[in-house]
Amino acid sequence: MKTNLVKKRTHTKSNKIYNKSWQAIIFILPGLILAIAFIFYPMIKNIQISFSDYDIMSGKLTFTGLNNYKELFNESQQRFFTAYRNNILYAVVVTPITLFLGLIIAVAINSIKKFSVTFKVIYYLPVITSWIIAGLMFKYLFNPGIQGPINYLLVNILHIIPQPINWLKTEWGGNISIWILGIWKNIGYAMLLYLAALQGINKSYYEVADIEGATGLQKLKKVTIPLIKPTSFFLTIQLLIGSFNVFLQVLVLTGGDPRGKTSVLQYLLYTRTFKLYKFGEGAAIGILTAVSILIVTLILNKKMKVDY
Amino acid sequence: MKIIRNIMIAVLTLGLLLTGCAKETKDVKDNPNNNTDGKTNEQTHTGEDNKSKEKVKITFWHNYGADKETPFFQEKIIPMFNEKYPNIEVEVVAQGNDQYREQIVISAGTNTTPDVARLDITDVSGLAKIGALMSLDEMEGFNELKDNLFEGPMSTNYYNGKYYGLPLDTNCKAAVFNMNKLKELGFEDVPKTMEEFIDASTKKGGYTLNVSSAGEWDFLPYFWSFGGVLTNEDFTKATGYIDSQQSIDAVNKLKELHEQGMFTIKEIDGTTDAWDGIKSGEYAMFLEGPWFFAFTGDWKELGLKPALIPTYNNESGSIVGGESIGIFNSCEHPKEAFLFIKFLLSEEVQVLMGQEMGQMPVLKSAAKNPKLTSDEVWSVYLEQLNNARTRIPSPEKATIEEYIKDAFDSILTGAATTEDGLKQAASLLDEVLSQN
Repeated sequence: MKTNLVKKRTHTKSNKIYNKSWQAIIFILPGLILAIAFIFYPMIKNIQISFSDYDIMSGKLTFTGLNNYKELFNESQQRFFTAYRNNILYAVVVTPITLFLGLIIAVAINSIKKFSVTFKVIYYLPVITSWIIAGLMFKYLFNPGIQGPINYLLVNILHIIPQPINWLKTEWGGNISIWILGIWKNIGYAMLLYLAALQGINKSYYEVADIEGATGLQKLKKVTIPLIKPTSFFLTIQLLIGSFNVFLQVLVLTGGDPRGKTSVLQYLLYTRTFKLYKFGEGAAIGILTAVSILIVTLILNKKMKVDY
Repeated sequence: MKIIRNIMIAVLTLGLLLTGCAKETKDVKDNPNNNTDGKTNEQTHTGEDNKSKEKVKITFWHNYGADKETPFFQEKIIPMFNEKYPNIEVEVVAQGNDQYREQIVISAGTNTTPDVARLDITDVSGLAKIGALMSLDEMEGFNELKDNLFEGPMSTNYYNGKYYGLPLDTNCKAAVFNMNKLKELGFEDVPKTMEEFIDASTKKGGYTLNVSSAGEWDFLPYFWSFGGVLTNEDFTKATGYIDSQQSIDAVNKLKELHEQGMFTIKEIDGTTDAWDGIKSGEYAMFLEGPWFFAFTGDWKELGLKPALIPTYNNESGSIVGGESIGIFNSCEHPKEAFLFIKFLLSEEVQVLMGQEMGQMPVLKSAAKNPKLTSDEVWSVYLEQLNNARTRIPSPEKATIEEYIKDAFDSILTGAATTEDGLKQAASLLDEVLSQN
């Protein structure tokens, strides 16, 4: 009798699990199919192509081991290493400046009572502006002649430099322009997330700090920054991943000029694939980018130790 | 959990099966002699052969402009073809010019290539190299057609001993003068030589000659006109040519004119755009294709005039541009596709496309047609075409373009001496040309 009861209970339990599983499957399946079609399959194919000689017409893959990677590393112009360096520099320059300015603007907007929505919109506008339009605008700003607003300002108004600089045709002028565009485009995003984080901080922390006689800077250092650490972590990861995906600003502003010195990994991937039809090398750049992002994320995860 | 796992396995298997199916379809398409209905091409019927037989459909991709060219092609040219070949249906797909090349590469990778496509002349060899295009040498009537086409545009379709396309339209650069500015310089008519133009411009001062960039398409006509040479005739060696003394002299002359402030390079100096500057009378001369006049309806009122590029040391050199037409390897009806190409290359259509779509004919007989030779713009460009040269035909054209631009850029911006810049370009180009 007891055995039967146990069996019955076990049976009912497994039935419940069975039904719950089916309910879960119904919800998981559409997403899973899409993920397989648009994420996992292309990912596996990309890995395969990076280790093969890919005949695009027949789809035939001939395994060539590390040849595509070797070609990238041994190319006489060393464009891969220049592009990789530029991605790292972009990450090192753009990420902290964007975080810093985003936080300052968020704190400022958070502290004002009037026009805060107007300022939020103004600072967020670049985020929703098309990269192409923003790129063309920056191309105009960095025009090489005296007609370029930046050159006009530096030469004719501030008298800092004697001659106009051909910003987009020099290695560092081009890179600086790309960085400034990246910072300008991302500040609004950082500001918005920081604002949300700031509004989530319990006011009693500041009240206690006030009682203790803390200055504004001390409150920022000891209260605000530690409490918005998860947001900072999230933004850092996002911006670092974004740094490895820089593409449009290079395409519009410099086209990699001069001699690939302002190129980045995604631009190199694009030119190798669509201009030179070197699909294997393009795929290899994709893999190396993904591995780099993974390593950066793992390191940050370990170093920052965020408690959510 | 077990069920979820099983479902995932099933979906993955389904995915793999689908991939397998796609591959099978592709294999069938890879063989141009196979048709989906199992018939060989010999068994299919052209409109000319037998009008009562089954209708064949071919797809044609193009990047004609949306305002004037596409409507005329769709509404006039295609109906003419349908009338002549009622058994061949042409599905015309206007792809637009943006990312057109990328679109073709993606279509090659996803087994969705059209049967026939209009292609930039510089893309043919690259697409032939990856096996996307069909060689046309064996097509019926190819040799007669080839003999009647301009040699320069025809040569851009040559790769590895075969022709993978035929020129569809061509263009070159000629000089565009602002007659009002020329008068200021002391000319009553267009100058015939560069020497007299330089002399007058130097005396007057200020920029008179403009080029957009130091890239191949913009800069090579100047490089060639001033005596520069890129490679040997077979396009297999650059050392001894691009770095030869005559090339060094050509670049030094251009550099000197640039430094004197007579010759401006927009991308380097940030000066006024060539089109705006020539219209406003800021510049006296620049080199441009025939489309400049098609887009500038009031060119006569503005005092502009097309003319042959002035000679320097009795020589001048223009550059060949234009589009080709090719058949993709996936085409199931190559014979019908070639009939379509032959139709587009007929004199009647070439003249019509010249008059109504601004497409410079590639057919020698069409270029002699009085309807075109009597036109004041076309007559100049058709004559200039005689000394227009092709860029280095190579599947590595993007790399070549990059090396040449890098060399000119670094010399003109002072980052490298002329000798060093050209020497480096020569060695880099040799590396690429040896792979051809």
